[in-house]
Amino acid sequence: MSDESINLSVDDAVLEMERVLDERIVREIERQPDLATSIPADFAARVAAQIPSKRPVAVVETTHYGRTAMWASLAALLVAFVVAAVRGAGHSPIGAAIEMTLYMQFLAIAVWLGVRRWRAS
Amino acid sequence: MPVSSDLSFEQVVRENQAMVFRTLYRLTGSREHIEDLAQEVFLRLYKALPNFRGESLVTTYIYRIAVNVAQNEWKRRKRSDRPLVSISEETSAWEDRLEHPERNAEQQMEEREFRLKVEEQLQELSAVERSILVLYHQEERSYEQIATALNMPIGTIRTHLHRGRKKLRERLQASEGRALCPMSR
Repeated sequence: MSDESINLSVDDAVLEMERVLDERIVREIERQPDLATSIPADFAARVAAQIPSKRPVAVVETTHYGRTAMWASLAALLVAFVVAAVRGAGHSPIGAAIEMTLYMQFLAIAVWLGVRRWRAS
Repeated sequence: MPVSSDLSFEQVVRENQAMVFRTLYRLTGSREHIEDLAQEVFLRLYKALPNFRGESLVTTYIYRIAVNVAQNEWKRRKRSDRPLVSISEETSAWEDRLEHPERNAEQQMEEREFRLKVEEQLQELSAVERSILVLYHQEERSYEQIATALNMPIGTIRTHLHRGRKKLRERLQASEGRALCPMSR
């Protein structure tokens, strides 16, 4: 056997030893300790008993992102109407279709806001 | 997870107490004060729940708290110059669970000694490496969950895991007097 092949065999043996040891170490860490006797039967009840009777109230700040977005959309649609009217966009079939779409969107948002307001009252 | 009442929180404690106890045991290396530490984990959880927005699992949140509590305990023991690992502590939990009763006593003794050495060397690792090894191998958490629990990038988790395993292997080899001397080419 040449020196080179001997060296390869030794290296392989070393790597194999390391691999086996790694596996053994991992097996030991994976083994879950048996602590059944360390956990008192009434542990959960005792922890719960330490909880203050009045739970601190979490203050939640109400946001109105949706409502704000809807008003912004209404404003944007109004601007779009004005621009369309100034440019005479309704004279062409495509322009008329776009105008109709904008009207429907405006109507839908207005109805939505109206219903929300009615429910809130 | 409903935590709107004390009874619900008691249920949360009951469902997670085993996990908290064994994680704390492995991270601190002993059963000393483990009940107090576990109580602290759950009380911290209760106080933090109003701020919990559900970005991760509650168990991941509990792991984060348990690791922090264990690290504080570790620092406290270091300051008080107490032995960090109770090697002589009873190991009846291990001995009672003889998986292969047909193995001879010598093999079992050797396995027990190896087990104790692994425990000892685990406590010699850094707190981060030890936490990651325990969460990954013992608790079988994913890289993502560990990254969330420890607030670290996943790449860092992998690096620490690899380094921790390598250090454990090298130190165990050194403690057993196994010298690796590859022949020079």
